[in-house]
Amino acid sequence: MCIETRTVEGSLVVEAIRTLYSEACTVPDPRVESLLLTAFHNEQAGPGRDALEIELENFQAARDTGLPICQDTGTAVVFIELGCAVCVSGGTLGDLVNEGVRRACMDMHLRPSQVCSPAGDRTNTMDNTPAVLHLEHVEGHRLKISLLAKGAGCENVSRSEMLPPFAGGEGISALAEKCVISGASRACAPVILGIGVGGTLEVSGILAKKALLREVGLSNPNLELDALEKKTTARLNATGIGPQGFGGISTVLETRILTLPCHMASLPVTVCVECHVHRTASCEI
Amino acid sequence: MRDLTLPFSSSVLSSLRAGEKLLLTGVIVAARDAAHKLMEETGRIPFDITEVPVFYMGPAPAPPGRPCGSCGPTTSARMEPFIPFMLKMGMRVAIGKGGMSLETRELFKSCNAVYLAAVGGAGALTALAVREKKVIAWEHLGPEAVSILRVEKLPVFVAWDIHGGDIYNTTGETNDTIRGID
Repeated sequence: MCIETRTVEGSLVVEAIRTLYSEACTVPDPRVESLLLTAFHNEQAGPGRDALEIELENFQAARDTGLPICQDTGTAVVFIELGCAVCVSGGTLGDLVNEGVRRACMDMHLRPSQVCSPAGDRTNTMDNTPAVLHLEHVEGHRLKISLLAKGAGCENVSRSEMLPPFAGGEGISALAEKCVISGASRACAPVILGIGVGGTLEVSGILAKKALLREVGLSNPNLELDALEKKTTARLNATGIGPQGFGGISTVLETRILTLPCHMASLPVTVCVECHVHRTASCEI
Repeated sequence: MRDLTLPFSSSVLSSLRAGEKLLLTGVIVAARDAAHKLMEETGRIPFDITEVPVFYMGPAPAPPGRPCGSCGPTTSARMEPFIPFMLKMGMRVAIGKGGMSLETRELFKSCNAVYLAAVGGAGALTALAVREKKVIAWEHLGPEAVSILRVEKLPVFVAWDIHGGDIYNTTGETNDTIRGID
């Protein structure tokens, strides 16, 4: 069988990344804002609700000024679904993605936060490269790009663990609880949890990131996982940690779980904690 | 909610209570990880630490026409290794985000120092409170350089007061869990 190949100019990928990264950082997501507004209405008077009010005012301030909604414009984490009948010209996808990130950083006054020699002198690269690229080879002529601007405050309280094989939903939910209890106040709560289950150690981490790309408000199509997501969210909102750790019932906005098969002896789980500004964008070329 | 002018007098400092919302007007200094490491290593603090609150923050670049880019707080817990030094040098007010260990809380209390929490993630809103900004040391650190800021009505919450009050008390966070130690 012969499928006709489609060639995509590399400059289109650069421009797409530049636009996605700029928009993710500077255009607040109204779906996230509506979750925060609901949380604000449900919260009792106190510093937790006052913090939610400021978080909402910040969404408005970003919209009014065009400033990045948070100064930590993150590491650009990029997922590309590349159709097997698509050929990208003009360089490697890694180089094209980095060029797009560099241009967004310069043009939109995003903060350069990436440092090289991480275990050494940690010199800032000053253009927020390199980005992180996850590439998936898929059927057909599709070229889909999704981007997550991932801040470090919430990334730092995330965890990967190799759980006992039969730890099940309870084990997964308990790991999420451990992350949230120890870290929600530092992760700019209320947070969103991306949980990756299965694969291998590193795959669970990628799944957890990918879970964060699920559209706000969508339920998990797998009923068992949907129930576990809702149960985990409810369990963590009962901790009383609240917005910014100031006390309240709004600690977790949503939990999203993605799974893959794994070795019979393993249960790799990563809980990736995401802050309340949750900056994502996607497009197809 | 109280409007307060910086620096705090000792009577204002002792009147603060955990959970209170404040609007701060005056001069603060922004310093984060790399600057703290350099301050401790060199013993040089390029501002009057006894007068000026230290804001754990590294701003985004300022766009044309604005004094400062997006500029919310960073995680205070990462500064904990440097806090004993900073308190010894006279720091009385720190501004950041998130809980820290009970040992650090006790250290603040024993030094009559307060810890204020700005709202993490609220970088655009915080930028609107900044009237002037100037880099005063270690410019080569980029976003981690030390800057002096003049702010007007910067919204913060009293996280730890000098009487032992703690906004994070209700969270069930323990000394160990807050540091991420199991």
